[in-house]
Amino acid sequence: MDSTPRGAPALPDDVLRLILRRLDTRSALATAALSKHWSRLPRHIPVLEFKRYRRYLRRRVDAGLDDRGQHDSTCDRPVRAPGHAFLGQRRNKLARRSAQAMALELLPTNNYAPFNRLMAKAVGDWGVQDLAIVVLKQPTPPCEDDVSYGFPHHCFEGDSKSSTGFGSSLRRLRLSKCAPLASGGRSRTPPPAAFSSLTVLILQDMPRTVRGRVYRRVIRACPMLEVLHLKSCLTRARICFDTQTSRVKELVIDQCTFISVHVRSLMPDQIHSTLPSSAHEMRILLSISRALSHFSALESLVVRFSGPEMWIVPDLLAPLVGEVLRLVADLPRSWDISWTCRLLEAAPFLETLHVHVTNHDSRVGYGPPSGFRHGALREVVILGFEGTETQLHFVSFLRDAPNQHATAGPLHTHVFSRLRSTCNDCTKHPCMHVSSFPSPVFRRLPTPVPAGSYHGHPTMKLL
Amino acid sequence: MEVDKGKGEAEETRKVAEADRDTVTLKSSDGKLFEVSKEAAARLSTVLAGMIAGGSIDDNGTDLKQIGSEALENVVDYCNKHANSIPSAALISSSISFNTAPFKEPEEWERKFVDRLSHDALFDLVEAANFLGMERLLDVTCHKISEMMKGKSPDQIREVFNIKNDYTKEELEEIRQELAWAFYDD
Repeated sequence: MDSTPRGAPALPDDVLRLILRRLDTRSALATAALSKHWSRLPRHIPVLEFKRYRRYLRRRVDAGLDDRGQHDSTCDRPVRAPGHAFLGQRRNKLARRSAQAMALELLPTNNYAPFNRLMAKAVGDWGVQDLAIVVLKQPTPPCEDDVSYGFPHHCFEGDSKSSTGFGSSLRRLRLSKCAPLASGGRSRTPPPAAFSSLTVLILQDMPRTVRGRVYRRVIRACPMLEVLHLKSCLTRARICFDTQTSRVKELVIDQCTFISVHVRSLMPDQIHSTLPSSAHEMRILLSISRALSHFSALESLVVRFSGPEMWIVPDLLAPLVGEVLRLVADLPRSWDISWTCRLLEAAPFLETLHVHVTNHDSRVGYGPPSGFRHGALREVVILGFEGTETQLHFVSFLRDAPNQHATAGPLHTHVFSRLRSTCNDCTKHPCMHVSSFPSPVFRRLPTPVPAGSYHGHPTMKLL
Repeated sequence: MEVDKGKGEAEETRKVAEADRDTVTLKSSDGKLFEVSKEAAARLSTVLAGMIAGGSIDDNGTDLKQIGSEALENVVDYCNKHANSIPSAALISSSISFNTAPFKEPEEWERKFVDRLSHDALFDLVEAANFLGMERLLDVTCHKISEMMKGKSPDQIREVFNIKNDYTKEELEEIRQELAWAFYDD
């Protein structure tokens, strides 16, 4: 027995499959060439990755290799190759494959049909639930904003009807430089079934040509969505989440140039946002009065913020339940002290409060709740400070408010008027570019928050 | 009746004695004995856990006929090291992260543990881990083997892993054509 040479053939198939799972896609596929036994092993590849084939294609073209000897245009020819080469789809002898996720890099080309088939097969036959599509940059882009490839949602619909009968099995979708829907689609048409069971949607590097209507349609088409990330979406659109029935728990808006983002009725547990330096203004508008009462576990909070980038906290990832450390509050027209106090009570770990006063003629608010104590607040920054009676009262109220934790130290207040780039009281924060303040923005709001609506809320306890 | 009762008591005391022992003795195919902590054995091996729970552990050495002494020594060594190591809090990657394999990477000491093994010892250990249902050890050893396969041509893999090529030249060429991308050497 000891004389038998040791090696992979001696291992049971279960173990061989465990080894295969750990190989990258190319190596795992290549094991089919080891022996007949290996080629018959069913492959479960956790992440199918189709990447790094540009040089491979070029070499094939250079060498005059062509799959079928057909005289296609140079654009068509290389695409034929990977479509088949990835799949080995003409050969049925190869073992069944399954995969959890697929990551596909696409080279801009004239013929995407093989890739579409690949995706349909991956989702329909191999059980892929996570799909990531990255359209690579063209070597010589005809136009920077050109959308050369759209997500082939139609490919999954035919599949789903025949196999499962309901929707698509796709759970997580990440699209980079790839439009989720065609811009021309009529809003009357039923939403594509490919999105019907998505829980995570990440749209990244969306070109300008992807219009606001597309985002709105996509959001409507995803009833199961829990996590939505919009990153580097370069369209000047108004995004509206009518999330009355939505399950969205996490909304990340990063480096986008949306004019406004309106989240109605319901507030996600987490909202993150950063703005590109070029953005003029952006607002996430939350109807807080209704939303807060629905949510017992608020994780991080940016309320109605707007303006240039310094207003936006660069990293809002840290805050957890009740541990919101920084709050950027873009106060509504009807802001009053009680409103701010509610927020401060709701976030006992809050250390920094930024208040952007956009409307200096705000009405004198209701009085602060008696017995108000703030938690760990250390710094209050107010931009657009005009020294009105209300504002002065607000500042002095916060300064005088008792602190729950003696360790928190004294409260620093910095106020900036519209015309000065330094604090009125000290010379701190010279980096704030007050001159680039946006003009008062809330006049264009579709539904201004009724005055005093926060005050009437019995207990806005978030913990 | 009384006899039965006496027997029951005797069994009970034996069980208590067994439970008191905090190690189990394992016997390899070539008759060597190894002691391993009962707690570690039960935690790391589903098969040993079942045997301990089922009372089929032999004080004089539980026979593991399928496992050679060298592999069993490594298994015991792994169990002891695992008991001493501080478990890391690294968990399986969360749902949102795309493109990450849902594996827990081997820890540093596990990496070292498999790195020092000879080729044959590694394969013996994989088999032993598989036989004993030691999921974590199987993970670590399979990880090592997959790393040995990465970046190698089919010919090299066949050589290292002693796999017989039973394809004809034509069949092989067909596969290479079909999966051309996989064989492209960048």
